[in-house]
Amino acid sequence: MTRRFDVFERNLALLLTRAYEPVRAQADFRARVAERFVAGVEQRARARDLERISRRRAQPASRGPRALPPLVRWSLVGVAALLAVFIARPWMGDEDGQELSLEAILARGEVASRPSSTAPWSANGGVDDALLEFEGAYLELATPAALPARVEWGAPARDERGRGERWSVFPNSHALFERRGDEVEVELRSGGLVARAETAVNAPRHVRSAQGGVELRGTFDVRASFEAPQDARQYAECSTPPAEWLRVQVRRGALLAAVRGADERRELRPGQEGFLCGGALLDASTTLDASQPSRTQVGEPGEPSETPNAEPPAQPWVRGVVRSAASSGGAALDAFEIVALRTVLLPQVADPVAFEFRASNGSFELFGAAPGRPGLSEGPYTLFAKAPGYAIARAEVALGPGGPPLELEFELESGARVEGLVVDAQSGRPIEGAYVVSESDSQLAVLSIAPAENVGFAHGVRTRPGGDFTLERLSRGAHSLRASAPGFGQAWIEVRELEPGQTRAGVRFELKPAGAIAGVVLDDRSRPVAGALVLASTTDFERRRPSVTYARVLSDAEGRYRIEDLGAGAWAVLNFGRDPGSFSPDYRFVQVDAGRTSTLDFRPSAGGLVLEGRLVDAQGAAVPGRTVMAGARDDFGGPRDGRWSSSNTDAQGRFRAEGLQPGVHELYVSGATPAEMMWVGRVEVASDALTEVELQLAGASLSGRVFEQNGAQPMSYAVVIVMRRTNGEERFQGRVFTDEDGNYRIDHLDAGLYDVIAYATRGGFGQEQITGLASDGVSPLTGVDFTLLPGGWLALRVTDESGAPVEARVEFVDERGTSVRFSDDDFTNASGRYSVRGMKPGAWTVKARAEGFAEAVGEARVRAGERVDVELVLRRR
Amino acid sequence: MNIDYRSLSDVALRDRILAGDQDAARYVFEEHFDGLYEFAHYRLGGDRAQAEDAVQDTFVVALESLSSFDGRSSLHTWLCGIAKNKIRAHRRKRRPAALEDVLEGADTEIDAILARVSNEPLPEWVLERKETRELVGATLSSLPPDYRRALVDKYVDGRSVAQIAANAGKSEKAAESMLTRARVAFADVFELLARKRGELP
Repeated sequence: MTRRFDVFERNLALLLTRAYEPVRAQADFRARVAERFVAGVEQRARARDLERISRRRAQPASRGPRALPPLVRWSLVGVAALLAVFIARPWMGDEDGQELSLEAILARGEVASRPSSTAPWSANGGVDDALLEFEGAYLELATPAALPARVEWGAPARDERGRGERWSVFPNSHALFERRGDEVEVELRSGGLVARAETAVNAPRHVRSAQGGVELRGTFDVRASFEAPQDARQYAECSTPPAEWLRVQVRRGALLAAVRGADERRELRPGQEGFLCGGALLDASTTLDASQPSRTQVGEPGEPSETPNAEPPAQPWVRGVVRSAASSGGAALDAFEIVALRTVLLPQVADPVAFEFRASNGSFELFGAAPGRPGLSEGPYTLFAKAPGYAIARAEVALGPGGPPLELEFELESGARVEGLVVDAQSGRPIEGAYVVSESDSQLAVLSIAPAENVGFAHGVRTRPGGDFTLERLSRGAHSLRASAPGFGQAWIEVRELEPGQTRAGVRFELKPAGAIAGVVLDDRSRPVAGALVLASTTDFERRRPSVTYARVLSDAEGRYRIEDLGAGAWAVLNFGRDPGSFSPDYRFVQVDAGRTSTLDFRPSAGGLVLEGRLVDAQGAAVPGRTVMAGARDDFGGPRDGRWSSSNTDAQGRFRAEGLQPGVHELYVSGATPAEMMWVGRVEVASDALTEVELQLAGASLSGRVFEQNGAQPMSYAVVIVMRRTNGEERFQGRVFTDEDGNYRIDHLDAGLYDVIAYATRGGFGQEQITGLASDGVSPLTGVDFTLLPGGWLALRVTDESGAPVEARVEFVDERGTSVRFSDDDFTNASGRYSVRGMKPGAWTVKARAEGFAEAVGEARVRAGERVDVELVLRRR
Repeated sequence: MNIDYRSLSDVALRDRILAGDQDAARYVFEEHFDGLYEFAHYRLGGDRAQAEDAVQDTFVVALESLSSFDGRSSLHTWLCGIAKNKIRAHRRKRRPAALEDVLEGADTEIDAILARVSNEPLPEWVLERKETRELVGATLSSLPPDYRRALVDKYVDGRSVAQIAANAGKSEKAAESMLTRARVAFADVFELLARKRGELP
């Protein structure tokens, strides 16, 4: 229909003058957001000022340098390795304009798209799928192996009843959308798609491929994908291999396709399918079962299938029911969500997958992944059940194909409530807008400092104007709560066992000024690298926090980066470069102090020294694919300057570690996973020459198992650390993880005395150690088993004689006289408090020291699962 | 010193805000808040609470990540990008009614008339209908911000092309051309929405 612009111009003027009512936000809401936004600007600027002042004064840290206990330090090495793998997951959020190659975007697990055939590709993050808006005349997209994409245009085309037009592109697919007037042509180059329109479209849609095309009109639900028929012999011959034929299936409406040798096109009706080859339809004899039930799946939970594979799985892996707990009525829930988080060993990190269920009368089914379609894979999972108004419930399950479905029943409780306050530790003023999150109830293994990156899978709230917060619907049990706010460092509080219906009040977070890490990223030729992804992460394995905390930024045009809002402590910083999918990250360790900026530059090796070498096994054969890490000997006092270099061995076992400083270096090699590492030697890097070394993986092994409680249950994912005693000093020898049967093994021990420490990375277990194991460097040491017992909770408070809290350094000594440290910051907080969860049961001596006071010493008997309070009073000298 | 923030580039505004200039922050807020709210309103099925959440989160994220804004897109596009992510997150969580549902209740006769906006004069009574107002708002919220602003400037605020050009920092010829494109885009989207709502062919 031709447009009459004179008429339209008049109508437009009428519409906009007479029928346009701008939608306006409520005035108080507008004012509130404005106030926060404007105040936030000042708050952030103030934090930066504070940091500048600190820098000008150049004062040493008030507590002096702190040497990190080995466990913390080596845990961070693990974090670095963990995040190296984690980076491959699709990030939730935009990189905003980063130009990445198609391969790099797909390798990151994101959907790539571009608005013209010559435009650069851009990444489209997604959790369950990626939503792309087709606004212009052209949209080309490619999907990665595990993420489908949806394409919408015009008005939002998605609603609960499935009305409107929607196109879903399968994972591992490549498609082009082109608009020709009102018509839309979609060229499918690989993979597949589903097109659905429940109300009639105004112009034909065309799906084209190298094998031919089809036309869609009116309403339709059609699937097209490149795949072979089960029996290709029943179809007419075609020179193209059946695997390259385009299979088209009709569930609703009809499609028209050309038929070889005929002038007219053939119409396929609901329940029919056909195969296109050589530009024409080969046959349409097979009839689908149109009555087969729709299934719920990733990306389109609660709705009929839109992503690959029209064949429903024969058997669900999980069949379950979600109802409210008996105390809440015991009714089946209509609307709920099941989140599946795969349990993996370090350094792997799995993404949670959410399945939404509506009007399901409490029942749900989960299926295994089928070819080309995301879903569950075989292995251990944590399944979370969530519903509005209820606390989350979880189940640890092992899933796989075959056999009857696993039957699960979730009873959702009303949950507990924690009330508290977040204040500025310096001024005592409340902090509005701080983010308080329960790591225990979050469905992520890695938790960003930026709340926006955890959306959908974290259980958190922001504080109100008075700095107070209420965290509701917390699940039964203990919780690790984390608070963060712009300009402040993070703080954690462990909350004891919560019961449904219980309210725990008075939780008080005192946030100290944030520190920052800043520097520059330069390439091999010392040119700044813009858009490099730099990530800082920290955790505390000994406190068994459920999540690793991280923050990430991109370097600017000058290669500069700055990561703000970091809490005091040790952080692993990883530089992934511009292409995180293929870049082996460079990582360093940095000590962050409150209110200060730590500088860390990623510079090329120019000026540094080079260590080259070859890694061979005991028989002299090359060992490829391992990571060799060289750390300066001085670094063993602490990771403050982070002088580390690492290199992967090639097919000949060769490696090249760059940027080293002169001096003695300890050399480690990765184990079964990059997070496992073992000492293999020591070398002095000379200041005037290339240093070459041959490392041989020889020596004795040490192995055993880790059990929990009574020795009957093997403990997976426990950490085993080996220290070597030399002349009264200890050297880190290696660290490994137990497998699913609790087994561990450390290789390459030479003759000497060793201490072995085991600790759990989950639950409230105490650590155990076996000391003084002698190795002759040849014979394997076997059966070095551990049984970890549930630990207790020690809550310490230190005051002066007047009862005022004192920030004191604390020390814990076990029954054997060993001084054990539980964190990198062994100081009580401003309230004089310090607590340890998962402390080994037994008698402990607790000491507190502070300047101007005499040391105070107390005794505590820690019992499994119980809390013991210790009060120490410091007396002035 | 009085600063004319309108004369500053988006990157210059970013730098001033990062330096703690609250007036610059206030200016940016005033410039973008209403557009973002309308943007979220229509994309979240008119749900006020969700639209407020999305807009509030957008400004929080913008503040947190302003240093990463590099000026390759406009600040408005950048903010809309953040808002889109928020909106998607809300959609994933709660599945609000789609635009068509929000606009439901119109009768086919009105939609048939509105779908011919390019060809036939609109009857007076149609202009008074709520359905028409909703369609106009939804259409404007779907347009790029410069198109939206040009149309509002021209038809709602009665500005001349010269004023529109001055506001947009363009030549009069470029402003006229932008207005033409904006009109065509409005007609396309308006007709599409009317047809969809009325389930017309």
